[in-house]
Amino acid sequence: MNSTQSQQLEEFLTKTERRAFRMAQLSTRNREDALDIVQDAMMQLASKYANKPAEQLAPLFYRILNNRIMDFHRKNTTQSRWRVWFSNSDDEDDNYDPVQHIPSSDLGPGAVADLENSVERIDHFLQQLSPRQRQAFLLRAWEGMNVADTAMIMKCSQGSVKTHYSRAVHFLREQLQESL
Amino acid sequence: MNTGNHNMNNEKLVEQVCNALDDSVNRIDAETSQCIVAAREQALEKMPRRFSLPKLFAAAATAFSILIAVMIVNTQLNQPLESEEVEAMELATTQDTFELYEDLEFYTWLVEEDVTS
Repeated sequence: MNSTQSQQLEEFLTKTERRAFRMAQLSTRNREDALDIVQDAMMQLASKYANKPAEQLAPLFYRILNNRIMDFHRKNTTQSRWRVWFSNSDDEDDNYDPVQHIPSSDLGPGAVADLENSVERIDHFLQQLSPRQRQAFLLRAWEGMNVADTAMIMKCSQGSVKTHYSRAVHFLREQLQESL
Repeated sequence: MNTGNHNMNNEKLVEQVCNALDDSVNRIDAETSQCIVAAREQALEKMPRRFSLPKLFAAAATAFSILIAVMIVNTQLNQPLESEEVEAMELATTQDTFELYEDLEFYTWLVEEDVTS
């Protein structure tokens, strides 16, 4: 590991860390969990991929971050499934997909209109997206990644990325128009 | 035309959402920012360290010395024994030799008797 590589990694993390935190926070809705996820992702990047060329750092970092976020959702949904199973075994639904049905934020539809701040309003809508739609939107629109890199990060086909992104944009447009 | 307007709307929407996200990054509180910086510093400490040249030379020299020592010992073990060494070994291991030394006086007397007779 030479000093140039160390410097380029530090510069990359400095530039990316706060945006990565926001991505994790939108997915976890919890500051501590988001901090843990970002720290894990940074540590794995530094310990395993620090010698990679600068242009490969962003796709690698977001892939790790995305994996951590999905792990978080899987862990949470497994826990909630157990809770549901123990509390009400009669209402079982075998076709239930936990990752697609993560509860939306605590604000009800009426409360959304009361949110004066556009940041909070948009946060709320982004949190209502499915994890895959949100990831596709954040990577493509906010991080400016191309379809191929986004597909590599999300471990899915380029077609799936386009579908997730398009649905996310459609949903956000509808929600924003309604809330105006 | 409609598709053009639709794309324009989408671009505007994406821009609006991205601006809001950028704002939210700027509004991260000081305590959280400190935690993020600490996490980065901790991660950078995990970077694999480069070997220093003197240490690398010392390690190479030690490895080379061990290799030479192993080669020398190996060569000596595999060398065939000289014929004199083989004879000496045979003498040392023969049962008769010990008898000769044990009854040396008798054999000396026997030889002298043979000579005189």
